[in-house]
Amino acid sequence: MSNPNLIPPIAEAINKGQLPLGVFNSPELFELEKELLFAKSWNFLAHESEIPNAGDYVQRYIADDSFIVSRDKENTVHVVLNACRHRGRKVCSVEKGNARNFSCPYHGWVYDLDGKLIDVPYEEEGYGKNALNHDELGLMPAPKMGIWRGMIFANLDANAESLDDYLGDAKWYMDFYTNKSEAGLEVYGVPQRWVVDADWKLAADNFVGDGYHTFITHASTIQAGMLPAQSGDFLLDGVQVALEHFGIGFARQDPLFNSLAYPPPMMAAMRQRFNPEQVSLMDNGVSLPTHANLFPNLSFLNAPGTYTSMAPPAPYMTFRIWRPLAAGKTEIWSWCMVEKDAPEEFKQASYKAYLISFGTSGTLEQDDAENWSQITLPAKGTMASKLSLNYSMGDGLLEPMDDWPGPGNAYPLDFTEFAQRAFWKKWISTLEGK
Amino acid sequence: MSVTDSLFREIEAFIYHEAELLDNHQHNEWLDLWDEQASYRMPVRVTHTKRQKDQEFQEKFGHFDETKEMLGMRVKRLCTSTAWAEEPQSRTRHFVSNLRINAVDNGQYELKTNLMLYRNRLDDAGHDLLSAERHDVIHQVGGEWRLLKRTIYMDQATLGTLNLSIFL
Repeated sequence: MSNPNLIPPIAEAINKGQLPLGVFNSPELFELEKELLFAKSWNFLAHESEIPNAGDYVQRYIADDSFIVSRDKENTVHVVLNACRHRGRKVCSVEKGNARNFSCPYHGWVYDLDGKLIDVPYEEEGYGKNALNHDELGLMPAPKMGIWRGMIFANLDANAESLDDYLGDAKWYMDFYTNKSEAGLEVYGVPQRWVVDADWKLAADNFVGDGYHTFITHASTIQAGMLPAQSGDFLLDGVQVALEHFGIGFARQDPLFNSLAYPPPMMAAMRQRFNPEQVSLMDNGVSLPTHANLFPNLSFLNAPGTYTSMAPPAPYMTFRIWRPLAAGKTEIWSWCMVEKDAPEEFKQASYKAYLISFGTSGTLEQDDAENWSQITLPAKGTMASKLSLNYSMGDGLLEPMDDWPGPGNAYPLDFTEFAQRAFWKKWISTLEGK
Repeated sequence: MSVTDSLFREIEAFIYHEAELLDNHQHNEWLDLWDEQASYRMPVRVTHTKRQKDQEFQEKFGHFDETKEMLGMRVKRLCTSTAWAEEPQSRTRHFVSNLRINAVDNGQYELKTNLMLYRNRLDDAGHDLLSAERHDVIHQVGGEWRLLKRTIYMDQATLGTLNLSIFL
């Protein structure tokens, strides 16, 4: 068991609006996170549009655990552990494909698309007639799985609350990302994957409520014209909302950010789909939401990007998972999402805007990851690990807005740290086993 | 169609010159080597079974999928003083080899090169090593060689570098 003195001082710091820098590069905390956090959280794995046909599958991860997310012949989605029941070999060693079944290359045990064991070579000779109970030897299903708006999640805790209950009030806000059109979202292409020497929590902390960094971190992207904001502090007078497990930021005043550059027909369609309270935000000078994070490590970003002078800026949307690989090491999975029923030209434009802004080569992403690695590396230091970081922005300065139509506490600035403080409270209480 | 020895040497020198500009961070000079109709792509690679290997490279989805204008925006950013991913700059070395040239119609030449890109940053003794095959199309404009197309086929599905703030 871990050091009993590890958690209490961190909890105490978080309660005071502080955080020791060492949390971003601690092998001890990483082991606790795997056991108490990632194994008990709802983890986003894939979008249904990635496996549209019977037999389609992708390989996905929750921390170190590999899963096969597949669609069977009855159109049902399954999430099963990618480990043969005989010797544990991965039965799927590729990222994506279409299969009739999964066959283990070691001894040839064969599993159906839903994980059911369907063949054991030399079974009768080796085990005896009917000695193996196939029903008990299928690929292990994830203890819990759930799908919301095409987003496939799994939870390794059989006693976890349902996905729907977990999402709870966050759905009111996730609607803005996922419910813009009748047909919903699809993944454009495939997720980009790359590995950074940075802690997953820095990325979550940034997306959940860091409206503050853009004017300096992203100054070059604004200067070069890819981020079409009037100034780098476009989130300053926005709105930040903090829920226990979710944080989200909206811009305000900047005309382009109000629509995030969605063309008028798509804005009109949104008004039909959103509920009156959601529409009221759009009528009160608040933008469609930009950045968000669902605890623990699923982030969202929706923003306009400029990739050409020949056309107006295009909105892009990305989902991302910050997959923890080790203390201070993260694999980023970045999906480019588009409305399935949008015109092809829109999808193309949105993809180009995404590419120049986010993902492996995105200029905003480049500078974000640079910051996170430059925090993660020094966080190992004996002195630096004890450095107390200031998380007090907005505390005592702002009161929740009383006329905000959505759930949670909304604050009339996005240059504030309420959502980040909420993230850290949720993080520490999870590690405390609460 | 093969090319003469002297033409081979000329094209080889052009490709080495291009790599030198990148390693010297002469991004504006590098941009000038590109035709106005430039296409600079790096398709995302996905690990598939041998049977489904034809789907390995995403033809419509890349790490890069750039027009000359997009390359220009990236270069413009690198020329600011706040492009933090390249402040300080990456130390790169483009090792370009295995040049193959095929003459096609319209004065265009298809090149294939192997690329080993060494990247080191800050005071870290380690490095990232990125390996790829590049397929280029070049032609001459006003007597000068210009890059028309480049497609970079990475030898990694999950990229082992912090970001692509560099060009390959």
